[in-house]
Amino acid sequence: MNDPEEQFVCPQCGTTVYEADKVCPKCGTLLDWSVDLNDAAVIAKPGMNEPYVAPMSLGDIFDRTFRLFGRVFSRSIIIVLILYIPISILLVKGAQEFYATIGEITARGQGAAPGSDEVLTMLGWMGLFGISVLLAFLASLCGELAVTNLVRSEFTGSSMTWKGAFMEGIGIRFLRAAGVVGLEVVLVVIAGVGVAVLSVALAAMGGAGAFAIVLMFLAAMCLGAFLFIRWALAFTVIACEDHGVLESFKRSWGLVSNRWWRVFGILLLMGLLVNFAIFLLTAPFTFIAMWGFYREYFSALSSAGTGQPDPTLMGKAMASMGPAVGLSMALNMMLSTLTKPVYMTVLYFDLCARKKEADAAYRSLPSEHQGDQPFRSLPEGRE
Amino acid sequence: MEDEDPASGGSPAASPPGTPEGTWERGGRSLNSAALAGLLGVGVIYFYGQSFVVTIAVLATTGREAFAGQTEGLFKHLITIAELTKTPIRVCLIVTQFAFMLLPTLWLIRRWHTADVRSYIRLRRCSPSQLALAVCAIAFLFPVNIVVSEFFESRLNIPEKLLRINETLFTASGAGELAFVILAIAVTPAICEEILFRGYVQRTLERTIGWKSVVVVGILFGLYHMQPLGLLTLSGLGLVFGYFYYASNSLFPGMAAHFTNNLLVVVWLYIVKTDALGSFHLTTGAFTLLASIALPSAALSLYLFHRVSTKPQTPAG
Repeated sequence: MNDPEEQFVCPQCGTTVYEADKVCPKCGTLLDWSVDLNDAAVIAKPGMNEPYVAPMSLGDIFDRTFRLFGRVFSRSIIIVLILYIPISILLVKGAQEFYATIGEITARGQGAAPGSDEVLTMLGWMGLFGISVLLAFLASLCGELAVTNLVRSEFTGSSMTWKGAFMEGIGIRFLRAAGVVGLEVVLVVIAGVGVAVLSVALAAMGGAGAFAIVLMFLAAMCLGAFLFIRWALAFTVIACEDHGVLESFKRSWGLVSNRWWRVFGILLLMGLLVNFAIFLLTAPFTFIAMWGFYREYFSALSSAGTGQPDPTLMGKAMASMGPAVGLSMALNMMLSTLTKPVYMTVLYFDLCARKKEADAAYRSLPSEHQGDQPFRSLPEGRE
Repeated sequence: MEDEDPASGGSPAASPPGTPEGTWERGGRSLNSAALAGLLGVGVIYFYGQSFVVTIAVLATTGREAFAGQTEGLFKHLITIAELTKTPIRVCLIVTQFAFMLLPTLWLIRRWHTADVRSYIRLRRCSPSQLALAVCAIAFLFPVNIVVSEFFESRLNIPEKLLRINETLFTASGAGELAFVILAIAVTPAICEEILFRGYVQRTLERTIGWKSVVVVGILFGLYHMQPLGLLTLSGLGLVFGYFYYASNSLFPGMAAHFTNNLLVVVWLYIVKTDALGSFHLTTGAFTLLASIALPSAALSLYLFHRVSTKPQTPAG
């Protein structure tokens, strides 16, 4: 396979592929170049490099998620603590000093403008807080990759140590995962700016323009939701299949193809359940962290009598809010890092299995019936 | 150990012979996952559903008043809003607890576990002595709960007016209103919350982790109420209700205890509001003294309950 122009066929859909392709450009199937892709035996055995997992029902997905969460928990928590403890300290310090400066300004009451030195100090602490939020975000990428590696290894029966998973989480895959998220952010920003510019132009047209703006927002939201679900697995694909950024988008697109509503429903349900669980677990810790704020706030209310609090006391309340903000942010991110990759990986394996079954069903049909319903929509890459 | 059922002498079955098993049981999935999925699923339906219904009811009742300027001060504004909205919120509590908590729970049990829902949740008779002792234990714990709650409230310097506003929902000012508040605050949660927490979650967890389910569900019961100040007392109550359920093999002692606790809160607030005790007032110090006497009595009631309850013990529980 030395000639880069030499043609091969995708074992999944039969599309022409080249050695430079990691995935089929049409159906998104991962291409295994360790075997001759033009070999008939390989073509007859599609998706050979994906571990076999049967398609799962919704109950199975939840059951597997729960079991796998328990199985990888001790290893995941080590990774998460290593990543988040230093960042939590930074977050708490940044938020504490930022809110303390706001508290000082609040304490002077309305009408007293802050001095330039105060503004610079506040901006400085805000900068530190911003940097620590960015670091926390990068840590969450690394942590989610590592936890995905652990869950994937449980699926494939090659149980990984936390060190192995962690090292993969900070390697080249980390850069690719950052690329996926970065590209998504860039697309959102471009779309946002485009919608804003068009809205300004349409606003000048009066009533019809307002109607057009509403329609445009609705269309943008629908398109955003469609793309979000189609590319939802790009991050997991990077961890499980070691693709580049664009290939992972293609692969995710192929996996979700024809199952958009199912993926949408599962992600919505799992997101609601997990966020509710995180809220229940973090509420007492957040309350304890906010104890100082509440005490100062209630003291301010009590002293006012009428419910219009004294600015000095409100300033003290504001100053005591910082550590709680930093801590609750760190805690939420830690719990999200522990849970989200688990259900995303389970969903990924379910979709792999469904795609494989759908393609096998399609192939088993006589060629003259391959365009018939209900098989017409099964393999998105068929010729 | 996973599918051992302590309540039925360690047999794996969740339902009596001949009763069709639900999808979760047939699929051989983890019972712990079922309990967690049920708790979170019902929680999401209940909290989002209730928030939506209550918001609509409050807006329909107060209109723009809720967002009007606070010319008379924050407290007066809040008191006005609380008085205006207390009845619709009570109605919403009753409706949402039955519609968004009880019905989904019963549906889940029927679909996932067994068609014999009554047996699964242990809606079966218990002895009168168990009922009486459960009620006594909770009644004796009431002053202790008051002292613990007041301790936290005093540490936070919560303004007295704010506390009274918070209590508006639970406070009746006449006999007719008292009956309605008892229905909303005491009867409804005693049925709906007990069936969800004890009848489903604890029952399901008990099949895998035995007595530890009492502790786990007790803490979850405290967390579920989303009242950080009451976390300690609510979790403590959850533990006691769970123990009644576990030891008696019946839902009724826990229901009776839950009803008694909430009834005492409503009646106590009613007495304070209507000044029924006249010049007689219980200070925090008097309550502390009362609690110190009541605590051993509660412990004795719990011990006697333990003695009269003869739950078959298995390796799983």
